[in-house]
Amino acid sequence: MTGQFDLYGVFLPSLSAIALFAYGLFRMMTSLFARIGLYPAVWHPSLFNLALYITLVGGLSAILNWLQT
Amino acid sequence: MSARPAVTTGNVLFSLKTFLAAMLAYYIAVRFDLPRPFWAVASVYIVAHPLSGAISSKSVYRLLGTLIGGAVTIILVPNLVNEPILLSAAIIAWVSGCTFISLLDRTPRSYVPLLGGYTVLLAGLPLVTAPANTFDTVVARVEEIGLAIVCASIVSHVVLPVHVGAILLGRIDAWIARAQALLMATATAEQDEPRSRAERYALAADAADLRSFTTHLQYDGSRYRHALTLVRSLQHRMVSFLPLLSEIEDLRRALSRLDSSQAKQAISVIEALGSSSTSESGILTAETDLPASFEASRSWESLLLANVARNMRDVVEVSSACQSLRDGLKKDSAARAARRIASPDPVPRPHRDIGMASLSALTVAICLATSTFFWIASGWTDGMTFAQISGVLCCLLATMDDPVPTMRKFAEVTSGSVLAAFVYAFAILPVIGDFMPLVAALGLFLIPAGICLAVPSLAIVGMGLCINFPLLLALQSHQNSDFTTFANSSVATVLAMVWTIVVCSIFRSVKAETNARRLFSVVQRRVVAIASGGHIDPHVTRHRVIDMAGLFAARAAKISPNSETAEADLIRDLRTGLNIKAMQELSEEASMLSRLKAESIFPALEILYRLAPAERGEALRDTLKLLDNLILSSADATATDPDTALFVRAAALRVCLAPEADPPASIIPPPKRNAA
Repeated sequence: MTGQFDLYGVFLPSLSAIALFAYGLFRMMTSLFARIGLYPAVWHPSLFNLALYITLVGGLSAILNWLQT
Repeated sequence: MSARPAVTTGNVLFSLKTFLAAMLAYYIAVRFDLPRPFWAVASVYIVAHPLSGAISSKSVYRLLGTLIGGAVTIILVPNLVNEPILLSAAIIAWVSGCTFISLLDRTPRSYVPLLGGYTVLLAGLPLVTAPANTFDTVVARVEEIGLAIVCASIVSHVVLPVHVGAILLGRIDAWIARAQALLMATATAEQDEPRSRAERYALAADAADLRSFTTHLQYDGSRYRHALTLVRSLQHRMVSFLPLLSEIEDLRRALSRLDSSQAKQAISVIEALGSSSTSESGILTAETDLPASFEASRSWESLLLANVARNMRDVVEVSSACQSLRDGLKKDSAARAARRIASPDPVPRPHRDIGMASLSALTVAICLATSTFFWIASGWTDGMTFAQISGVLCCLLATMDDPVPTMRKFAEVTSGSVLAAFVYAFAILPVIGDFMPLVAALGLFLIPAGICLAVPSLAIVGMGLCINFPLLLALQSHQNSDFTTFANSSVATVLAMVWTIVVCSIFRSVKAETNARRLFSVVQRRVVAIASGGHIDPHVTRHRVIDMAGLFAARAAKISPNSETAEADLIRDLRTGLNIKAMQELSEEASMLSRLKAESIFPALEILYRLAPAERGEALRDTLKLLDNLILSSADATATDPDTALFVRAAALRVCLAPEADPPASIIPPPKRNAA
């Protein structure tokens, strides 16, 4: 989590890269869920989405950490 | 002040949610060590809105605008910092240009250029003393605003969300019910004209408001989010009710003047339409046997009846289209339904008032030029705050006819928040060392102030308190309770407001009546353009004029009764224009004689609509003479089908031009009133 990505000389904290990547993944998953009709069965779609996004960010950073060690 | 209580569960909940979001943003900003955490708090309060979709849309626009403004700051400031005059000129040009663009767009989207403009003021001006920090400051501002809007959006979507979708649909239903009620009233009894006209204006204003409200829908979390095209095409149909309603009223009046058995029968059919407006099938059969039974003689009466039949067919068509779109929205698969009933033609862009936008942009430029000049000339460090606040205030209130009363109120409230900030900065914050007590202390002020933000009539008070308070405190967060700094910036803030009031009252304030007259003359010019045979799309005309009628409605209440626009009926003018257009198209196919007669009318109409309403008497009589000449020729049996259609339109036009005139006869009686 402390590392930085070098993007042509601009240093980005790895957290922001993870967050962006997770957001792309998140959008794909929500559109998939919407298509298979999951949302009508969810009590609070916004809360569900927030939790999903946090899970994705957490999961990605955990995977990265695990890969580095 | 409103009669309703300000402290309702909904408002308190809204205030608590906003406070929660603000404190979340503040906590994260402090944890990440951002340079100006109070910016995030103020930003949360700037985007605050009771509806979650509205917050998201405003947030997206705010972020976009900040990014644009930040980019321009990075371009302008380091390059021009050694030439203060040139830099000021560039900033003034940019800010007023942005204000101009944002005023042309009356939807919430206008926030993007507006913010792009004044971000340069807020982020750029402090940098003139330290241009090396440009990039860092801009990044910090974007970060803080980004953080604030993420917090505001998440909290509003997750904690007890209030969705735009359901409220929008409720408002659409209310609009339709109101239009139906007006239809019923118009159809069943003679109406008091000014009252029903005011009602139509009110509906037009509501429709315009609904359209801009719909912008929020695509950012909403509810299932209606995907139904945007459906809602848009529903609104599209809704507005075509208004000219029809106005036409029914005039036709009814014209028929009751005739006093024949057929006319009475037709009136009873109209009444049946009014009372059975909920069950469509009944009307359809009632109106279809109308034209058939009166086709035999082509008199003025039968032309009127043909118009009644056409009008009712249109009413039924529009109301059933609205009904089926509304049903489509009710279903779960709104997105699929939207694809099926996709809007047939795009909604034309609404009216743009370039004159007023230029005036506002000019005022912003004057205000900024004077305040920056003062800053440069006096060398007062806080002249910067003076320039910033006066510019921002000018931009924010640029949409109003007369911003001065609002500004005065804002200035008063700001003085109040200066006082509160003073107490906080020197009595409360110095003894607080921890985060939680700070939150509690801030909540003591921000939560009650946030309740004001939710009440429309107190919104300006809420804004003044909630937005200025963190900003005034923010200046304290670095300088450790330095009284001189605080006094300087407070004096600059209040002075800036006073100066903005002075500048705006000199250059910007226009009476509601002036704007009403401008709208009126735009509509008249449009009718002239149609009559002179310009290529004008009737569809675009309909939408734009109804849009203008909505703008007119907001001013109609303030027009003095003896003004020339007090009697103006823009929707009737719209019908005139549409009828002229239809006649022009029909006369292409009509027989030579009718065509010549019809074409002699258009120049007369052009002259008529170039005149001011008070001077129209003579021209109106001439036009009516020509029009009656055409209408009376319908008695000839040689007329072909296109001819008949032309006569019907001509009759409709005559009803528009002179709704109170007697029916045409060989000897033309003078019209009783100069109605147009």
